[in-house]
Amino acid sequence: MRGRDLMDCLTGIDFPSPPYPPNLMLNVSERSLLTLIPRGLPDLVWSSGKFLRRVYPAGLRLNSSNLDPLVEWRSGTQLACLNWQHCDEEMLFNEALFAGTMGYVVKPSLEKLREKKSVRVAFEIIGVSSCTFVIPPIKGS
Amino acid sequence: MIRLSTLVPLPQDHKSFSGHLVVEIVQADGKKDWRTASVQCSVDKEEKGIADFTWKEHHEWQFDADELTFLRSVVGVVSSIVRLTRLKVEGLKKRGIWVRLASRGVLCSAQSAPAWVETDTVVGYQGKAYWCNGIVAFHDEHFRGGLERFMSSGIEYFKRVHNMYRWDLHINASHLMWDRFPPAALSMAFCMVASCCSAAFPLFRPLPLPCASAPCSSSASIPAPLERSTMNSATKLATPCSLISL
Repeated sequence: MRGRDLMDCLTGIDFPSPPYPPNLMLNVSERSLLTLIPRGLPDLVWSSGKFLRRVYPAGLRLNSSNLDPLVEWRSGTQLACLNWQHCDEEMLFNEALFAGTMGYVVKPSLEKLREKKSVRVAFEIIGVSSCTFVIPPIKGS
Repeated sequence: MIRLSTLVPLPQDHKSFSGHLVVEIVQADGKKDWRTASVQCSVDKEEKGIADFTWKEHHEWQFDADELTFLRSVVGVVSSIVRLTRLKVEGLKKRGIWVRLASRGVLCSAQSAPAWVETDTVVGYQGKAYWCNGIVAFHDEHFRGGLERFMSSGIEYFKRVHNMYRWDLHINASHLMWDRFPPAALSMAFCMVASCCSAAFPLFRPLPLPCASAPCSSSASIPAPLERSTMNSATKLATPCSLISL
């Protein structure tokens, strides 16, 4: 990285005029994205094909709760910021999507998304063994 | 694939309870679930409270393909212990043994590419390490192909035995201690302690700021700001991007 580029990263840069660089990442708040999704979902999907997008939680989440990443992912958002101090359902979705990967998952092609397929899943639950329980200590011992 | 997120404290007088398994599927149009029958289980306390469940039930789902599809299985425990007051304090909020099965949207592309099942990490409640085994049989050929090449840090291996899959699970959930002490509460407590100390002991008061009129010798070492781009103000104002102003 050149010295000038490094200083730009440290001090912040003005937003360039078009044409935009391909490494541009748009930071969008959760509330703004949820406002845009009902009326501009195709534009959001188109934008995600051009630039990276990062969604950060709303400022009113004072208890550090997590946003719903499925909504953001379905709108084409690449990065959904999550609070790792709470292992809630949103964190489970994040782990389910990215665990065992290099940190990213390639999106399927649009042709596959447009195909309407019916999928059948059959499974058999046999059981769970060696589940550990917590035994509270006996009072007075 | 499997998640053990909380544990049930066993009462002193109860040696048996019933457990069931709930399987959920999450898609864009909502969430559906299926529940097995409850089975009785006994716990041997001398072996550190280890229990086994056996359901042997079969279920099928048929749905439209979706890019983001998740499966989750939850093992719940039902017992009279939830009536105890102590459990209301330490276990009622997150009671039950939860084993969660999650899969990615590969269900949708299973017909064109080898399917694989993603995994959740395993979380506990009391910051300890736990482990358990589970057996699931998938009757979908794509699932089987995916499971065989699956490996993650939370799950040691999937082992195929008689067309069924057995997972060995080792859990280290020490990071979940943050659930008990939210960072906001910790920061508030720290601020209160710091303010009390500052009022009680003058040594903890902040140092006075240097006078503004005093000469600052370090200002000469600050490098001059670099030249900005030659973009004029009219170009800056004409930058069109609706998402930027968000």
